[in-house]
Amino acid sequence: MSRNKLFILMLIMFLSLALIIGCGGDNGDEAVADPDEADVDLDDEEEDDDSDDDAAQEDVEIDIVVGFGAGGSNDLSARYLAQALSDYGITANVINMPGGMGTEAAYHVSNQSPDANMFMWGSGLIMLFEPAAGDRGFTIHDFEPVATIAGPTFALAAKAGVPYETLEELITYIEENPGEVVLGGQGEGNSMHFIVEKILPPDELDYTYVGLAGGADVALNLTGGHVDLGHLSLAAARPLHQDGDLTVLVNTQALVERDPLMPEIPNVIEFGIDARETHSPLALFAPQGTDEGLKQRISEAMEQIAQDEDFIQSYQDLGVIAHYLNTDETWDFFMDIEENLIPEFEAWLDSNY
Amino acid sequence: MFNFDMEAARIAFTTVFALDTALFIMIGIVVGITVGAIPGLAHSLPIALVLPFSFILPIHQTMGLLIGTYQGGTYGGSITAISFGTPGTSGAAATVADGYALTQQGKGKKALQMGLYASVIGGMFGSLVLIFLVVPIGMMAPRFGPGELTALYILALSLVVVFSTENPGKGILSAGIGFFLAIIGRDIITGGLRFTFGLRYMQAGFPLVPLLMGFFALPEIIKQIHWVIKDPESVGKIGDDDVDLMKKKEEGLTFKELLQSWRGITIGSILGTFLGALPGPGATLASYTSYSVNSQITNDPKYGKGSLEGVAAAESANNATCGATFIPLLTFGIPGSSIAALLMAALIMEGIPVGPRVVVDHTVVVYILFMLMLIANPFNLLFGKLLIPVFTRLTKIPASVLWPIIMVFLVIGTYAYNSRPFDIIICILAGLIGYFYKWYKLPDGPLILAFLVTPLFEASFRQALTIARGNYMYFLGSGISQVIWLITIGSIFLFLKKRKKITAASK
Repeated sequence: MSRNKLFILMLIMFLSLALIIGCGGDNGDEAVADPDEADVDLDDEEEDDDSDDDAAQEDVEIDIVVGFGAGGSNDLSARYLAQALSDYGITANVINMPGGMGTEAAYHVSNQSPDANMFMWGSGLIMLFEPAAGDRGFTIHDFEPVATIAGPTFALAAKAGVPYETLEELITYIEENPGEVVLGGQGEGNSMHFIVEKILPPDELDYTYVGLAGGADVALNLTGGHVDLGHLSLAAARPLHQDGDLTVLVNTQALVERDPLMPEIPNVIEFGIDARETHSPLALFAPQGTDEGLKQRISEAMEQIAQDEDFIQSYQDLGVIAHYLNTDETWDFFMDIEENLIPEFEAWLDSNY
Repeated sequence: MFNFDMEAARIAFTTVFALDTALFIMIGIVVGITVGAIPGLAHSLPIALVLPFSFILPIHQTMGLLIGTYQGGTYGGSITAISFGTPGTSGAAATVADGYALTQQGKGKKALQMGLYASVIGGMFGSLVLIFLVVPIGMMAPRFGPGELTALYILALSLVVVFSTENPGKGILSAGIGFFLAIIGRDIITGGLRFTFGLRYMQAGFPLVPLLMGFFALPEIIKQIHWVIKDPESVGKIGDDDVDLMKKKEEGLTFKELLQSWRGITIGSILGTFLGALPGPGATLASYTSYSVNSQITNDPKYGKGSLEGVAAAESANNATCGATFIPLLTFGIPGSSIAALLMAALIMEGIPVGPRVVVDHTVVVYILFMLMLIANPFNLLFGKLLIPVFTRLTKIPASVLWPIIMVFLVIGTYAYNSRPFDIIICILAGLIGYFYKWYKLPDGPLILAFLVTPLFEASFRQALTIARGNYMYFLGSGISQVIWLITIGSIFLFLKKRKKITAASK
C-alpha cells in the first residue's frame, strides 16, 4: 500500500471516530437520574408539588414523537391533537421518526430523560405487539400512559363484482370455493395479520393471505383486481366503496361498534367474532418518571379536546374515532391486551413463524 | 368520469393567478431549492415542516407553498451534485457522475444550467401529462399488480448489466454489494431480522439518504481535505487553477447544446412521468433508469465522464415525477409515494376528502393543483437562474473552507433525515464503501440501482408467488407483464451486442 493510500485510510478512520464520538452522545444517558438530584427530589416534596403547580399554570412546550412518516393517518391524528393542545397553553411539536413499525421512535422516547418533555404517540401495535414479536429494546413498562384520545377504524373490503357483500356470505363463499379467494393484508406476521386470521381462521377456511406493503398498496391491489379481499383503513376504503370500486364488508373498530363514518357497516363483534383491533387505539405515553403534573395537565386537555365538535369531525374525516380514556383507563386497556391477547399472539407467532 | 368544467377553471384561474399565490409559490421554490441543495436534507423534510400551515392558510396558498417546495427541492438536489459531487437529495444521485465531471472540467455553469432547463422541461412535461392524461394513466396504475411490478423490477435490474458494459465483473460485484446492503434490517414482508448482527439500530436497515450521502460525499470530502493538508499552497477551487480567476466569467450553456441533449430530456421526461405514476419507484429510480437507458442510445462519447446529455437525462426524469406522483392520488385517492402522502395530508387538513371522486366533487381544487403545478415550473426556472451565479461562485470558495462546511451540512442533513444519530454511522460506513469503490474504480450505478430495486423486487416477487400459490406462469399472466419481459430480453440482447462490439474493437 502506498504512503498516500495509507495516509488517506488513517484519515478516514480518524474522521470516522471523530464523528462517532461527536454524534454518539445519546440523550439516553440523561435518563439515568443523577443521585444527588434524586435525593433532593425525595427530600423536598414541597418543592415537587410546587413544580407540579407550575406545570399546570405556565405555557409548556412538548414533543410528540410519531413512529411513522409525515402524512399518514397516524401522523395526521397527532398533528390535529398538537394543534388542539395549543388552546390549552401546550405547544406540541410533532416529530416524525419512522422505522421498524414505530419501534425506532418508541425506543428513542423510552431512553429520554423524564424532564425532556418528550412523549410517544403510541398504539398497541407499537407498545405491545412489536415487543412481543421480538426484542425491540423497550417494553410498555418503560413508559407511563398519559391518555388515550382515539382509535382508527379498519375494515375488510371486497373488490368490485365479487358475489359476496357481507362477512357471512364471504365465509360461505370461501367454504364453497376453497383456495379461490386471495386476501391482501398490511404485512405478514404482525398484529393486523393476526386479527385477520382471527376473523377468517386459515385452519377452517381455505384462502390465500398475501402481505402487502400497507393500506395504500392494499387499496391499489383491490382496485386493480389483483386480490379479492383487502384489510385497510375505513377512511381509505370509504371513497372507493362509494365509487363502486370495492365493497366494505365489516369494520373491526375496538372502541365503538359502528363507525359514524359508515354506520351501515357492522362491527365484527356483531357476528360473534371477537377480533376487534385493540392494537390500534392511539394514546400518548411518557418516559418513566415524567412529571405527574404535566401528564395530568395534558390528559385533562385531551379530555376536553375529545369532546370538541370540530376535533371530532376532523378525526372522523380521517377515519379515526375520538374517544378519551384517562391515565388509569388507558393503562388498564393496554394491560388487558398484554394479559389476554399477547399470549395468544405469541402462540400464533410460534406456530406460524 | 372527468369532464372539463369551464366555470371551475375560471375560478381556479383567478385564485391561482393572484399575488398572494405567486408569493407562496416563490417562497416554496426558494425554500425548496435551498434545502434541496443541502446534502442529506431530503425535500420531504421542508414539505413536512410547512405542512402545519394547512391549519391556517387557505388551500391555494398552502398548496402553492408545498408544490413550490416540492419542485424547487427536486431541482435543488442537483446543485450540490453538480458543484461538489454531493447529491442534495437522493433523486440527484444519478446527476453526480456527469455533473461533477463537468464542474471539474470548468464547465460547472453549463452543467447547472442544463440541470435547471432539463428539470423545468421534465417538470413541465409531467405537469401537462397530469393535466391531460390523469384519468387514462390513473386507470393504468392499479393494473400494475405484484406480477407486473416483478417484471418491471427485473427490467430495472437488467439495467445493472447495461451499466457494466465496460466491465461486467465489476458491475456484478457492485450490484452484489447493493443487494446485500438492501436486505439488511427487517424482512420486507414478515418483519423478521436479517444481518443485523444483534445491533438494535440495524433493525431499520440502511436508509437510502444516509447511504447515498455517505457514498458520494464522504470520499470526495476526504480526497479534497487530503489535498488541502498535503498541498495547501496549490489547492484552489473546483474546476479552476487560480484564485485570481474568480472574476473570470464562466461560459454558459448555449441553445445548441440544449438542443443536442434532446434525447436525454425526452427519455427522462417520459420515463420520469411513467415511473412517477407508479407506486414505489420514485424520483431516484426514475433518474437512474433514464440515465442508464439513455446511455445505450446516446452518441456522446463523454457520457458518464462529463456529458451534458447525462445531466439532462437524470434531471428531466426526477422532476417529471413531480406531476406524475399526483396521478394515483387524484384518480383513486391513493398516495403512491411519501411526497404524495404529504400532499394528500395537506389536502385532508384543508378539508378536502381525497378519493376517486375528488375530481368531480372538488373540481376547482383539482384545477388549482393543476395550475399550481404548471406555474411552479417557470418560477423554478426564474429562481434557478437567479441562484446559479451564486452556486457557481460557491465552487470558487477556497477548498480549505468549502469542504469542512459541506462536511458539517452533510452531518446535519443526515441526522435531520430521521433524527437518528445512528444514521451518521451509516453515512460513514457508506463513505468507506464509496472510497473502496473509487479506489478500485467500481461503477456506482449498479450498487444504487440494486439497492433501490431489491426491496421493491423482493416484495413484489414474494407477493406474486403467494397469490399464484407457487405457479411461476403467473409472471407471464398479463399483457403488461409480457411486454415488459420482451423489453427486458431486448435490452439484454442489446447489451450482448454492444459488448461483442467492444470486445472486437479492443482486439
